[in-house]
Amino acid sequence: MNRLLIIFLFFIIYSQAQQMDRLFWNGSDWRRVEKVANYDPELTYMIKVGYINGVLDGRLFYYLKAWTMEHTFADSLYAETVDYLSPRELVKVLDNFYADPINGYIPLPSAIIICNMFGERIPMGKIDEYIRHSKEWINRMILENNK
Amino acid sequence: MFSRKIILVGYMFAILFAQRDNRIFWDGSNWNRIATKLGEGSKSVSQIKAAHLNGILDGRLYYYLKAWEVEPSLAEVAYNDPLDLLRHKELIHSLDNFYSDPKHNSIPVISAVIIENMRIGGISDKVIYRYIEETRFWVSSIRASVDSISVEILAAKLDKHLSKPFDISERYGRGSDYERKEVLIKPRSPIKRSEKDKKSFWYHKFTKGWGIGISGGINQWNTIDSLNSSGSNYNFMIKTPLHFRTNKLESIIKIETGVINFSSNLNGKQNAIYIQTSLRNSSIFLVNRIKLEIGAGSVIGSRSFSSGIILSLRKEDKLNLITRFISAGTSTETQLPSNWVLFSIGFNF
Repeated sequence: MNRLLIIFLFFIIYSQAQQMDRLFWNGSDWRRVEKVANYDPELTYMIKVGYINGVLDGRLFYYLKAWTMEHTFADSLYAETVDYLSPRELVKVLDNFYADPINGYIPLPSAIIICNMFGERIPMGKIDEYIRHSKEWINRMILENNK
Repeated sequence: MFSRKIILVGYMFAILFAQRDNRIFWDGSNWNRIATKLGEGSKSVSQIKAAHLNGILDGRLYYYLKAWEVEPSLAEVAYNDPLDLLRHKELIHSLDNFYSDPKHNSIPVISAVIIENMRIGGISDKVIYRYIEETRFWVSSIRASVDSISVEILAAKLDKHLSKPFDISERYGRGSDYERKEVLIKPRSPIKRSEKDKKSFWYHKFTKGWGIGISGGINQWNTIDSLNSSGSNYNFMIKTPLHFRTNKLESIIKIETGVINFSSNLNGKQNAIYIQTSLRNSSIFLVNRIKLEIGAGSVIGSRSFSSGIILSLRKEDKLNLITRFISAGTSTETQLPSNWVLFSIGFNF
């Protein structure tokens, strides 16, 4: 009985630790929204759009702030297109993107950029390269965060 | 009476929607509208608000990490706002309180998050108040600038929308035969005319193009006592700006002044003015132009007239092979030959 309790506690702690390792919302959070919203399509959409608006607002706010300090640096850092798709289109493309489990751990801010690249019809080679780079980057960040 | 009411309601809607258009960030009105739409006590309200806050924090962290990889010092300064002193539940509650005051409606949610974290972090009310005022000021100024460039933004967005590769036109009722149109975006400031574009006047053609050159060569003439006699001449050339040019034809006026030598005891000054006419861009190998000329002047005090042919060997007429037939008013005093042929080479600079 004690052993079962210990194993149960271990699983709880381990799953919590896994949650803490996550730096950003990613595919699993995105897919979970539907469940959280009780499979209500309108509420699901509102939560997703709320998140996307948050990312874009955070990006724009700090872009403006960085721009006042260093124009060229800010312009180079925030060069990617994130507003090619409308929020509704973006939600749809993100749904498709995260339907592939291999993309599950790509952070949502990266996925937003990737989906806009899809929309802009950037050559697939470049998009694959960006996806690979994003995966390497997030892995490196999580490892450094754990240190 | 009823139609008036409809017009009034329509007008109010139009104004309300127009007011919404220029919003850049989520602000108090968006925040409060969630509760209005879903009901005050709904669990979904906090889910949407939490999602938005997660988005803000993720957006900030993502670009902080990106910036840190390139410019750590700049990233530390730019992204040093306190955003994570409160848990999501506490933060949502604080923001609800903050936005319950209607005068905070225009403050973006991200700024409100900073403000509430400042409050928890023990920053004085005076500093917080100043931050709120500053935020209100820059949000208003951004809105004002967006007003002025909104036409450009709308045009750019329309352009982007029309250039989308997947076909969404049918969905919006345009039909498959819809033709994409080019959208011209006006520049923010009028394009300045360059110097080249400035209007040129007809007399400019006649006042441009001063040039100088030198020439030297030999003279040949027949004498009574011998078959051939020869001498030499050296000239300084001035190309005047008095010329006439068309695509095919060119006509210029040149002045030459120099010395001429016929024999050891017969030498002196010569001056002349020439009118040269040529067909432009000859098709003959090495020859750029063939010019015909007539001239009038003086040679050692006697009047002279000439006619000649000139071959220009390089572009821009830099090198000329000149052949002239010259006749002069001769007398026993001057002892000049009555006519002679001159072969010379000239360089234009």
